This record gives sequence, structure tokens and C-alpha cells, in this order.
Amino acid sequence: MQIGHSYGAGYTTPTPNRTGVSQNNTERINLVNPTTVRRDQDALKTPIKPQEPQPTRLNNAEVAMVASSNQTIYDKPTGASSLAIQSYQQVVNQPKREEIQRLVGIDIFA
Amino acid sequence: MNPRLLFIAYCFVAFIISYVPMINIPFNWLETVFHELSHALITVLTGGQVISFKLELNGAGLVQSRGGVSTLIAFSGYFGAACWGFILYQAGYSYRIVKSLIMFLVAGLILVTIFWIRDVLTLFIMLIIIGGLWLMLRNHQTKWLRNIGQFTGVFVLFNAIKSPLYLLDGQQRGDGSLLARLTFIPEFVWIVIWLGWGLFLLLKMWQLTKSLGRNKR
Repeated sequence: MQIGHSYGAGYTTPTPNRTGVSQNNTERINLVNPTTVRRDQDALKTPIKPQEPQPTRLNNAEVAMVASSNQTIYDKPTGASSLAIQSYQQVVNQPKREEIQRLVGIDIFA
Repeated sequence: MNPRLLFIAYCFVAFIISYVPMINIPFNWLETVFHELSHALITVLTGGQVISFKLELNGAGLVQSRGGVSTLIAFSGYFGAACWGFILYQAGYSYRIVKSLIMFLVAGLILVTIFWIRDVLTLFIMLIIIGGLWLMLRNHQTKWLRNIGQFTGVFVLFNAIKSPLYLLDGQQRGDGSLLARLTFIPEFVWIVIWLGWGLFLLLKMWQLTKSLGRNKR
């Protein structure tokens, strides 16, 4: 999701450590307890970072767009599932199909 | 009153009323009901199925059907309305016959309402018509019922003669246009046939009235 990426970008930005040497956060996470590192990073970041990215509220359309862009191959039904879905849709659309069949061949006399 | 004079009076009043707004509305509805009823009856008689029966406030009507003989169904509207007018007028000579006919009509329209009406507006119009016919039956004044029956018959026949003329509008719609498409006979010919049939029945009415007047004397 986009929200996750924007937060992630903040954490992976190379930030100076206490000694003033720039070090990538991900490297530190591998070395020590991640929770302490994160707290430490926050303390370091606060004075330096001019503006922390604010979490944005997405509307439904944006969420749908993001969800569709993140679709993976696992969302696509397999052969057997697609047959099952097809059968299900045949049942679901039956009343609509009957309605259309009923309408076909209707004469109107005024 | 002399039957011939009465017939002329009916024709005159029917002609005037058909041009008076508001007053003509219930009579127009009645004529439309007979028109659409004819379509519906022929649909059923030729093996078809009526899907819906619709009436509009302005006196227009519509029957949706499936199956049946389309040519006969399309032809029956104006033709049948004129026949209904003639039958109503003739029934008016006998209290017993006109009463039975109106009772038959009320029963028929109730069945139409139950089986074919699908919208509130048509239901409203139909209930007014059934209510009016029912009130006619409730009135025990024999002469009044006969006169109203005959006048309604003349009015329905007048409208059945007049209505096909509205099809001469150059627009390809209505029963005439449908018949032209089905039979390759021009719409104008169908209009002339309906007009001729209506005038023939009006003439028959006059002749029967004349003979009745002679017999009375």
C-alpha cells in the first residue's frame, strides 16, 4: 500500500547517528533490537527532519485503485474455481436472463 | 321522446362533449378501455398472452402482448371500439340487456385489473371507470340507465370514428403504422377501413332507430 511505502521511505532514509556518521537504518535493524533502534531513530530524527510525512486518508476510489494495482496472480481463479464461479453466476443471473427472454417478442399496441 | 330525435341529440351532445376539456376525460377513458380491451381479447383469442394493460390520464392506452396474430390484434383496436359502441347503444333499448351488459363489463374490467394491470395510474383510472359503471347499475331508474347506456355507446362510436384520423400525422406510430409494416398495405388504407366501419355502424344505428320509430308509431 502507498501509506506503508511513504512511512517506509522515512525509515530507510540515511540519517546521521550520534557520532555524526551517516548510517542506513536497515543495517542497524539487522544488528540490534528493532524496537530500540526505532525509538532511537525517532529521537534522532526529530530535530533534523523538517517535516514528517503525515498519514493521508484515502477515499474509496483511491483504495480500490490501489487494491487493484496490488493484485497478484493469486487473485485469479484456477480452472476448477473459474468453473464454480461460472456456475454460480449462471444461477445469480437466472432471473435477469428470464426477464430479458420474457421481454423478447413483446408487441405493443396503442 | 322520438327515438330519431333522441339519437340526433345523443350525436350532438357527444360531439360537443368530446371537445369540452375535463368533461370528456372519463368518456375518453371509456373509449380507450374498449379499444385496448379489443386488443387484449383478440390477443387471448388468437393464442397470445397479454403482458400488461396500461391507460394514461390523457386518454392514451397501451397493451403489451406476446404471441397471437399480430395483424388481427393491431386491427382490432379501432374496429372493436366501434363495435362496443354499437353494442352498448343497441343494448340501451332494453333495460334487462343493458343491465346485463354493464354487469358483464364490470366483471370483465375487474378481471382485467387483477390479471393485466401493472401500474398505479392505470389502476386508478380503471377503478374510476368500474365505479362509474357500478353507480349506473345501482341506479334503479330504468329510463336513466338506458339513456346513459345509449349515450355512452354513441360517444364511444364517435370517438372510434374520430380517433383513427389522429393517425394521419405523418409519424410512423400507432396501430395503422404497425399494420402497414406487417402487411405492406399503406397506413392510409387502414385508416379508411376503420373510418368506413365506424360510419357504417353509425348509419346502422340510425337505420335501426328509424325502424324502431316507425314500429312505435
